[in-house]
Amino acid sequence: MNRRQRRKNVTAGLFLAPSLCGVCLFSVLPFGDVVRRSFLDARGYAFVGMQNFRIVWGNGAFRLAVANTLRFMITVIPVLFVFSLYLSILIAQSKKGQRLFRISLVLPIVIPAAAIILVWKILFCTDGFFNQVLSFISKRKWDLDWVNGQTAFLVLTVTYLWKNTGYDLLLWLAGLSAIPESLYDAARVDGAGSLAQIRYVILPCLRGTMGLVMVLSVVNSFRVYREAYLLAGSYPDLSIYMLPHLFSHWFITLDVQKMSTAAVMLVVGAGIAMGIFYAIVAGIKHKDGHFSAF
Amino acid sequence: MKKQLQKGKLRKRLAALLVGLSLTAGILGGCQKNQSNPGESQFEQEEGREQAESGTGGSITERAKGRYVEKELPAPEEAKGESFLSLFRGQDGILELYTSIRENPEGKTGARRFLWQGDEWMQDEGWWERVKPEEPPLALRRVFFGLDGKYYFSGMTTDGSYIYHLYQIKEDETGTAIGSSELLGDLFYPKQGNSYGWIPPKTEVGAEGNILLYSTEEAVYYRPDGTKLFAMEKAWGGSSEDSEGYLTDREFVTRTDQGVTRYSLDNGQKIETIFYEGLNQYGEGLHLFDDGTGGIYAVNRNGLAHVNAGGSLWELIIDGSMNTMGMESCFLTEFLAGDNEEYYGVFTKNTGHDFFMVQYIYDPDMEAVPPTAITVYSLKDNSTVRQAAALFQQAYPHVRVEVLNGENQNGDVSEDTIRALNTELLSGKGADVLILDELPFESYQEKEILMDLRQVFEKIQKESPLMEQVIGDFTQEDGAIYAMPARISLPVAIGEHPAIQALSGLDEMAAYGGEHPLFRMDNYENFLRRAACLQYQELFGREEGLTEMKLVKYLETVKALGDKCGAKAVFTQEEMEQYPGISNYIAPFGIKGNATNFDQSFCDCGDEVFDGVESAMIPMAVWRKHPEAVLSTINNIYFPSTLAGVNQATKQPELAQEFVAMLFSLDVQKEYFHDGFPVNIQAQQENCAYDNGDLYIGTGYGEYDISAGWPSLEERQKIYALLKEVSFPVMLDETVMEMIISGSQDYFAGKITSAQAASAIGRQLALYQAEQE
Repeated sequence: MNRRQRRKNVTAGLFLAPSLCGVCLFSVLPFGDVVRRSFLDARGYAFVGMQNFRIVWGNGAFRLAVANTLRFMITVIPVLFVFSLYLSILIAQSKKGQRLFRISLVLPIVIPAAAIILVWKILFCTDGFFNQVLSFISKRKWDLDWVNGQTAFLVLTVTYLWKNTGYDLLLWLAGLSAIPESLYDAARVDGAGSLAQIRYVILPCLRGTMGLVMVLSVVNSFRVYREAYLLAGSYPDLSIYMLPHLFSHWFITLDVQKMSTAAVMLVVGAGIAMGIFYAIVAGIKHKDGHFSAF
Repeated sequence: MKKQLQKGKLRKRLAALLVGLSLTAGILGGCQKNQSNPGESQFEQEEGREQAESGTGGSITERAKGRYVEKELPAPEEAKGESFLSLFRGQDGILELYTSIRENPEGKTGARRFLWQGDEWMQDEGWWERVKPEEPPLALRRVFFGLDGKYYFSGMTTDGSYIYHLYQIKEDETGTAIGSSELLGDLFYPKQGNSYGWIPPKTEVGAEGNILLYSTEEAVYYRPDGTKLFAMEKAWGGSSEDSEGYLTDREFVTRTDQGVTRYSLDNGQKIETIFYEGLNQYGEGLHLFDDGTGGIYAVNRNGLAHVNAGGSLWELIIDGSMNTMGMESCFLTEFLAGDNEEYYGVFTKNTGHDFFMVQYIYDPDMEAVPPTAITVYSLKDNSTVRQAAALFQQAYPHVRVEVLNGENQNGDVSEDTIRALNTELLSGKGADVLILDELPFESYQEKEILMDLRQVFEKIQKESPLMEQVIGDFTQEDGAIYAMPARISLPVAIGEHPAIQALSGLDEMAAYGGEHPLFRMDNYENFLRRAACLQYQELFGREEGLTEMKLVKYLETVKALGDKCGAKAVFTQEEMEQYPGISNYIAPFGIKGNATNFDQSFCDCGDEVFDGVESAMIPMAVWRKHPEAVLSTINNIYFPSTLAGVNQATKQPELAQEFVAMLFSLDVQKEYFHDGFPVNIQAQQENCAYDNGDLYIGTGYGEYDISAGWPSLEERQKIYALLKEVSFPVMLDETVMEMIISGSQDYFAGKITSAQAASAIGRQLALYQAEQE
């Protein structure tokens, strides 16, 4: 590394330092405390070894919350991924009304969750819009409690998709706008149709955006607690009982040691999953000499 | 040359780096909260801060001194046991006190006038006899001194017509009252078609002799000849004589919804409105009076505040939380300023009879702000706690008690409030004393957030014992006491033997087949709550807890009870109009008070929750009417409240424990705030002996009505005897109740079976229990 390069690195480091300090101060250090607390009793005084891990691992509520959260992520993230990408391609290719579509899809992001939930309740309550429509169609009375019954998971999924599609759409559109027009022209000259253009031009060029969309979708899927809480309260139908529900209740009962332990377990679990993911990716890279997800 | 340049650049960079680092450190330091040394008392911290601020280094700075202290102003001996009428500064600024003689066995009523002679009260003998009108017979209501330098009084006729009269007192050349003449007589007589005339809550006379008559929403200014000049809007006020407002030479000052408003007496136009933050703090009235220079004094539980003429900033002169003003057991009746920057207050006990007077004198040697403070936190406003805080501060003038609660503006409490409290508790902070009602008490106990108070209660038991069974119920197996209820409520039932017997279990309740339903028609949520409370031991009390089988039985019992009386999830407006007394109101513990329903034969069991003798007045009147009925406790249960504990992390354990002791002391326990019976035995005995014979209340709906007086000694003894029977505290877990209520809706609507509902509720309960494992 020559001197110029070293100087560049130092400058970059200095620019990044405040952010790094912030992350250390507000994320890494508190997480260090969380790790510490996971080995202590509720008041944080006595060392209890692995006892908290055994308790949390055997806790039925924790298992249910993890299973539901995973189920939710597995369900909504691929749907959101594909659906928002599909819409973004449609919007990018449309000649008219691009702006209108974009605004209408992005609008749910700026509407406060409480307002959305109010509308949702009107739609999904026992004498709400959907039950009335169904009653009208079927000529018999429908008073299904969409939010507190078996349909709760579906309602939450729809809510999440409606709320987050616009956000992912913006990310995809940003990625799409960076694809040079010449690549499309070249593909068309080679006889590529619409599907072939997606396959050979758009998807490879959006590889970086895909990673970003994936990460943000996962992060946002954890935030669905707000909607779940407003829709169905702190003890919703068991199908939408998520990790934040459990953490919230543990905080009320001051079970900080359990919260800390569960957080550590989640981070370790996520770390292992990411490790496996990267190992697979590295394997593919090694095999093909280059990375291709498709 | 090049090297020098590079060195210069390097220096500049280093300097920039140092500036950046120092700025970052400064910002972070500025953000950091003042961390106290755990061993350091607040007193020491304060001293340290003062030293630092004064820059005197080692020497301790003098604290700011000077505070108003309260001392009792003895009432005249002759006025003991009489009702308070008026206190004001009359001719020559002399303090004058007027009391009324309550109706005695001979039916004699009257009034007395006392003049303050600097160190004692002197009675103006025969004053009432000289001034009272020949006709009609009158009960004096208020005496006042007009700005025109003349005395006036108002009264109500006692011949049954209940008409207001206003009189000006006539004086001879020596200033002695010799009679009276009526003013504005016609104004107060009933208009055609009305039973009652105008009864102004308050009357004042201006400098020009014009008369200001208050009504509930406005004050109307009249000439003495009865010509109406104008009306001025004021805040809504009832019929109390303490209506909020006063006259000056040129202005009328009163409370409006926006604040304190001045009106011009030239035209009745609004001059200004001054916002006052302490206006509605306790939802009570505001006493206003003139400072003599155009400024305004305002007094309520908050304290005495003052605003200068033309100003808008209120200065709190006397902090109400530190003296009688903040006490819950009495209310402020009159307040006025003396000649030498002293103030006088008259307070009436909650019972409405006994009054006492206090004087506020400035003590220049008293610390302006108490150097020590303890904090008491409860989720909801608690009158007993506020009473204890006021008394504690009187007993410990160097300690300030901050009473905090977690209610929002609507009086609601959210889970976020508990989370905020927990965050404080986790960091070893939080209030010194915790009132644990609706807080996760058992969890706090497990996590050792609460201090073991066994020594405090051992001392209390020796000095002024509490109910043994309550102490026993809240003592852990190892003898530790983490919390103790300062109040308990008593569920009772009135009915014939079979109905009372039917309350002994779920099966018995469901199987009851009397002439009428066991309970009157109500909404299902109340039925669920009531059954959960009454059968708490059966449902929750045993080792296995609330099983699915028990849930099925519980739901079916409630359904059976509901079916017999026509219970519904929600009543429509038409149904509520059709069945007087029926509503969708959700009662605490699900018990609305059914003695009157029993009296009307709507049901065979009139269940009630007594929180004091006053709450038992109507039920006891019903019981009196039904000699065949039994008055009984229900399964020996009681409802504890004002559950007091001390934060283990408190920096002032002695003071916190002293506060808890104060909460259970006779002085606090004997007062009645509609929040439960005392647990202090001596307070129970005193309350039992207390005869509030003047109090009558009535209730009714539709064609039914019943009135009741204060229960007799035998009846009061019966109530307190029932209190001795209770031995099982019921503290419903609201989360569990919510799960049951929402999970059973479909069952009561007939959409699912009891087993299906129980299964769904059971799954939720299992999750709830799993969270706590």
